[in-house]
Amino acid sequence: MEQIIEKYKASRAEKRLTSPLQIKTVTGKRLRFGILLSLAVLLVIIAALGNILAPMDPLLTNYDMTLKPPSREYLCGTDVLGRDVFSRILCGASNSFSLSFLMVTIVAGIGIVLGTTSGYIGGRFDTVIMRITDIFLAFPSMVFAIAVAGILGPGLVNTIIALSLIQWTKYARMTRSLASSIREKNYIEQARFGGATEVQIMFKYVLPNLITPLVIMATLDIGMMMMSLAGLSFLGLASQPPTPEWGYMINESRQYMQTAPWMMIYPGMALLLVVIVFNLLGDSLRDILDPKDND
Amino acid sequence: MKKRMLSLCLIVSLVGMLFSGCSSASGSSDSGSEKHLNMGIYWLGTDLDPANEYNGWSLTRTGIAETLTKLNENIEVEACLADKWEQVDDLTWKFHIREGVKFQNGNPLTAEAVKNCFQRTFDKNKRATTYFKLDKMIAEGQELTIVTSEPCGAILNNLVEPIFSVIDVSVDQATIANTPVGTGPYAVTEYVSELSAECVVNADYWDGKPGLETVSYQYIKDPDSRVLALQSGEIDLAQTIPATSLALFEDEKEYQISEVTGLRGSTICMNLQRPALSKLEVRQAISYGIDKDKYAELIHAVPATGLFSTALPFGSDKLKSYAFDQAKANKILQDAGYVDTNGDGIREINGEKIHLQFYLDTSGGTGETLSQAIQADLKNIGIEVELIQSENLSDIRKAGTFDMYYNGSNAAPTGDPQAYLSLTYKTAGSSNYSYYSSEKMDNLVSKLNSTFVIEDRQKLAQEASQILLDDAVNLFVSYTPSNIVGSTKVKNFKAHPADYYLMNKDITIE
Repeated sequence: MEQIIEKYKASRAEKRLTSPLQIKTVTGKRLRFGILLSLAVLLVIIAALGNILAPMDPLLTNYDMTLKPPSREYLCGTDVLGRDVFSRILCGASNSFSLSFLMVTIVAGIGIVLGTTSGYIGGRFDTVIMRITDIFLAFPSMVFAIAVAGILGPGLVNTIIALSLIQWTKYARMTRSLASSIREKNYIEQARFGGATEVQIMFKYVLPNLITPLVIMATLDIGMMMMSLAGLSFLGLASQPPTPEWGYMINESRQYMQTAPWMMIYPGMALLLVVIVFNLLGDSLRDILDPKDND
Repeated sequence: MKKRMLSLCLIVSLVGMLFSGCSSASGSSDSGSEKHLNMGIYWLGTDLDPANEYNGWSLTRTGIAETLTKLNENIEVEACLADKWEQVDDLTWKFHIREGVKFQNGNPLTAEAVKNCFQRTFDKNKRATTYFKLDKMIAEGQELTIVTSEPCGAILNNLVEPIFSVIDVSVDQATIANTPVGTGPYAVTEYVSELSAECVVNADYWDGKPGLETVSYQYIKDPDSRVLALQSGEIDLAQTIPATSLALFEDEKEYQISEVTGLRGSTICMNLQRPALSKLEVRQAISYGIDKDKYAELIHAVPATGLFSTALPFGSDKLKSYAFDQAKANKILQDAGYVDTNGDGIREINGEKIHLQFYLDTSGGTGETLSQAIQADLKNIGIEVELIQSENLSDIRKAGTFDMYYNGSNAAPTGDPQAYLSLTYKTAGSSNYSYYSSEKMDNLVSKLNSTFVIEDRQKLAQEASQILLDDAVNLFVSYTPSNIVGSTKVKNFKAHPADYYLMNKDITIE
C-alpha cells in the first residue's frame, strides 16, 4: 500500500514538473476558446441584424438581373429571379440561427427534464422512459424526421416538431445516466439528512452537476441542428419558397450548379462556416470544462 | 495528430474508391459492339406492357413497338402500321394493315394480331376507353374494322397514343411484361423495371435497315444527373435536358442540340370553388397581373397564348389573351370592391384579404421558378400568395383544398383536343380540378364527338381555348420546348413535339 502511494506521489511530482507546458496548453485552450466564442458571438450578431445589414430586399425580384455573377453591386451574384444572393444569405442566417437555438432549447429541455427525473427517481418510471427512448433511438434520426415532416406536411413548425421528436432522446439518455450516478453520491445523502425535499435535491444538487456536459452537448448540437434543418429544407420539407433559407437556397440552385455556381457556393459556405465554428466551439468548451483533461 | 493523419488518409482513400467506382461503371457500358448507343431516358415504367398504366410510352420511345397511325412533326396523322383507312359510317372505321410487316419474332402482322392486342389492352387498361369507346372489332386478313359505341371523331389521332402500341400477344403471356415483341426497329432483350432496357436491331424491319446494332437505355430520373451523365460520356444521347443547362452543350464540336416547341405547357390551375377565385374579376386581374413574356425568358420557354401549344395545328396565337398590364389588373380589382383598407399592401373585401394557397411539387425546376415569380408579381397588385411544396400534390388536387397549383400538362398528347377538354374542362370531368362548369364548353365538347372533318375539329378547339381565356379559368403560362441532346458521334436524331417519339430507324452512331 505504502509503495503504491509513493508511486502515485512520484507520478504527481512528475506531472508537476511538466507544468509550464501544461499551463501553456491551458492558456492555448483558453485562447482558442476565446477566439471561437467571439467568432460565434459575431455570427450571432450578424444573424440577428441580418435583415438590417442586408443591402437589398431578399424577396425583391428583378427580371433584368437574373443569374448575374458576383459583382460590386451583388456581392454573391443573383439567382434565377434576379434576387440578391448576399441579402438572402444574411436574412437566411437569422432564420437558421433562431430556429436552431430554439430547437436545441426545446430538445435539451425535454431531454433534461425526462432524463433527470427518470435517473433520479429510477424504478419503473425509469424503465418506461428509457424504453421509449430506445424505441426512438432505433430509427435513423434523419429518416425519422423526414417521415414525420412528410406526414405532418411541410412548414417550419412541423419541422421543429419532427426534429424535436427524435433529438430529445440523446439528452434524456445522457442526463439519466449522469443523474443516476449522482443519486448514489454521499452529498445527496447528506442533503437528504439535512431535510431537503426531493425536488430541492434535484434542482440544487443533481442538475448543477449535470450542467457542464449538457452545455457542451448543446453547443455541439447547434451545428447539427442547422445541418438537419438545412437538410429538410433542401428536401422541400421545411422552409417554403420564397423564404431565404440556406438549405432551400442550395436546393434551388441545384439545376444551376454548372451555369451559375455562385447560387450554390455562397449559401453552402455560410452553412459550412457556421457549423464549423459551433462544432469547434463545442469541442474547445469541452477541453476547458471537462475535468479529466484539466486535472 | 497521428489520429488526424490517419482519418485524413482514410477519407482520401474512401473518396478515391468512390470515384474509381464511378469510372469503372461508365467504362463497362462503353464496351460492346461498334454501333452501340447509350441513351439516358427520363422515364421507364414498372414494365413494358402497353396495357399497363402509361408503360406503352416507353415502347414507342425506345422503338420497340409502333402504332397503327403516327404523328409527323406538324402533328398531322400519318400512316404507320395501317397504310390505308376509311370511315364507313359514324361508328365504323376500316383499317388496312400494312402487308409484309413482321413482328420481331417472325410472326406476320395480321389484322387478327392487332385485334387480339387491342382487345387485351381494352380489357386491362381503363384509360383506353378515354380515347374511343370500343364496341367490337372484326379482323379479315389484313382488314381490321373497328366499331365504336359512340361516334369518335378523334380516332385516327387517338390511335397514335402509345397505349395502342401493337405487340404480339400470341406469345407466352408471362414474357409480355419485360420482353414484349413489337414491330419496331429494335427488339428488347432485357428489361429491368424502372432501371434499364437493352435492345438489339430488328434486321427485318419493314421500313428499311435501322442505323444501330444495339441500344442501352438507362432510366435517369433527375435532370441534372442526365446532364452530368451526358457530360461524362456515360450516355451519348439524352431526352429532355433542362433548358437552364442547355448552355453547357453549346460547343458544336462536341454536342448537338435538337429542340422544338413541344406539346407540353406550364399551366397554373385555379380552383373556382374557393371564395376568392370564384370571382371572375379576381381571375382576370391575376391573368393581367402576370408577366408571361418575362417568365418564358426565365424558364427558356415560349409564352403561351392559350391552352393549346403552338406546335399543334390548332394552337393559335390569334386568340384574345391577356397581355401583362398591372394597371388594368389594379383597376379591375378596385372596381370590383377589393381595396387595401389597412395599408398592408394586400387588398381586402368584407374584411377578408385575398390570400391564395399555391401548391407545387418538390421536384423544383420550372414550377419553383414560375411560382415565385407569380408570387412576386401578384403581390404588386395586392394579392397575397402562399407557396406550399407538397409531396402528394395529386391528393391535394383530388381533395380540392388548394387555390392554385402548378401543372406541367400536355393538352393534346395525340394531337387532338377532345380527350383533354372532356376530362379537364367539361362539367364533372374526372380531371376537372378547377371545378369549371360552363354550358358553352359542355356543348362544344359534345359537338367534338360527332365532328369528323379535321378542319372543323381544329376550329372547335380554338373556340374552346377562347372560352377558357374569356372565363380566365386557368393561367396558361408557357409552352415547354422538347429537346434531345447528344454527342456529335450520334447522327440523325431530331426532337419531336410529341415526346413519346424518340428512337427511330435513322439514328446512327459513328
